[in-house]
Amino acid sequence: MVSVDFDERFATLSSLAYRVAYRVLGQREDAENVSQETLARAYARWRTISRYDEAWVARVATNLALGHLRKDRRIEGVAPWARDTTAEVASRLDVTDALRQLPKRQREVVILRFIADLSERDTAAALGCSTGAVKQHMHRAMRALRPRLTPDRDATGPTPMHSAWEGPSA
Amino acid sequence: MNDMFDFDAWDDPTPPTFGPAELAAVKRRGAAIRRHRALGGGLLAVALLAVGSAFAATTMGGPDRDQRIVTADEGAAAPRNVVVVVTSTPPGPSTDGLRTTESISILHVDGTSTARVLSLPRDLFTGEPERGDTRKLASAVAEREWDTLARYMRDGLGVEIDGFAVLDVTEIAGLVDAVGGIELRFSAPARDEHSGFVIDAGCHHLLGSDVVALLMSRRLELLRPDGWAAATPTGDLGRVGRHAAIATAIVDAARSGGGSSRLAATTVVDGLMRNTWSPDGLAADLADRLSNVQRVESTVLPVSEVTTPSDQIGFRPGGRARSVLDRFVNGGAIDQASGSTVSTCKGG
Repeated sequence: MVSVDFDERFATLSSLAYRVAYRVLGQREDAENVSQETLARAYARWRTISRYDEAWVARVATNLALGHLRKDRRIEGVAPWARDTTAEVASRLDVTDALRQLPKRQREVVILRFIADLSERDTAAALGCSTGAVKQHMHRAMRALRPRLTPDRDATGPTPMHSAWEGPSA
Repeated sequence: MNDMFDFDAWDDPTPPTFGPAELAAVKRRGAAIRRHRALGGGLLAVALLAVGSAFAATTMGGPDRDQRIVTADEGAAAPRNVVVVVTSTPPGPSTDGLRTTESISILHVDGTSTARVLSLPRDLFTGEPERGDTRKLASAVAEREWDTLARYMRDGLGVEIDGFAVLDVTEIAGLVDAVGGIELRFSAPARDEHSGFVIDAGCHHLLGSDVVALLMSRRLELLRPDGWAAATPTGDLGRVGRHAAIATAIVDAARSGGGSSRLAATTVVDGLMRNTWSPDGLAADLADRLSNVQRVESTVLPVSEVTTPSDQIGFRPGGRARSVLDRFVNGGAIDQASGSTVSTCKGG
């Protein structure tokens, strides 16, 4: 029964979508909206995506959150959380800006691995590719991200930001 | 990871809980998304239904919509084959309700992202003409013999038919206008003096009346360096290619939210779906499958000419028909009808 399975998974998947969206947006209300829209889309396609629901939800929530961020910046010139002045906010801005400049598939791999905390195997399942392809996209993404996130690395050696993007342990 | 980029530190310290109220809201929104997807599939279905191939037209009594039959097998993964008949009403005051059959084709949809359209000549013999059985597809359509047609397509062509649909070209015009017109690219200046269609080379925004003129064009000519010449040496193949381009352009326009009124598009599609299909679940099933379709392949049934003892001329499946039919039904690559004269503007 489609609805029973979805009902059972609802709380888990909602929490996952919210966590991913909050990491990108840093704003409770927007993250809740993204979470709700993600789960509604999952419900509409449940028969197809239920076998890899967590990976699918993580990916869609991330894409929706990035889209929301882009739209929000267009309207207001800056993301809502960037109106604060904390170092954390500045870091988020750097990271999301760098992510947006990656090719789509590399961005998805990085987001699923780092922000959604998926394993290589789950990331591969979410994207419909092999774990080898995930590794390759991750490697290319890291190579592209390093200069953007560590502009003075030649002068000072690896920065904290650099080490952050070495990637999680597989 | 260091503290600055430890994403755990970016989490909400007091995340919300998700309970029955949130679940109910999500389901309401999810149901709306499903309806929207079905509409998108419906648009594609109508576009595909609208534009099969067409062969030489004859005036005949149009099929009665009340007598359409649809015998859907509800197997979830089974492919669907639907015979599509596109008709038009001849100009003039004394048509007396007669309609011209513009095209007869089979739409094949399975679980993949590719839909297929196989065009059939109207003058295809459905029996054994050498033994005096000179019935043709067109006459079976005119006589509303849907059972006979389904049997011929099963026994003669090896295609199990799930249903029949009849559509008038004026409804295509309504659909095109409802999505705000479509974008088509012409490889050279083109004209059809019969249908009154004239256009310059390049990308153009066409409205419903233009599209109908293009759909019905049987003598499309292109301006070559040495003057006007037939668009393709094989006119019918060229038509199929043009029709496939039109179908794709309609779908592109519908999906991109084209049109001044989405309500108008919805109304048109709802009306077409209601009038075209019997309400036994096949329409919804097709709409669901078609919402995933990204590509349309079209081809024509290879035929050879036959002359009966009574000097009637018609066709029967030719030597290459079996392989084309096998690929059409089982999912292999089919010979794409040429669409080089007209293509969509997207990506080019």
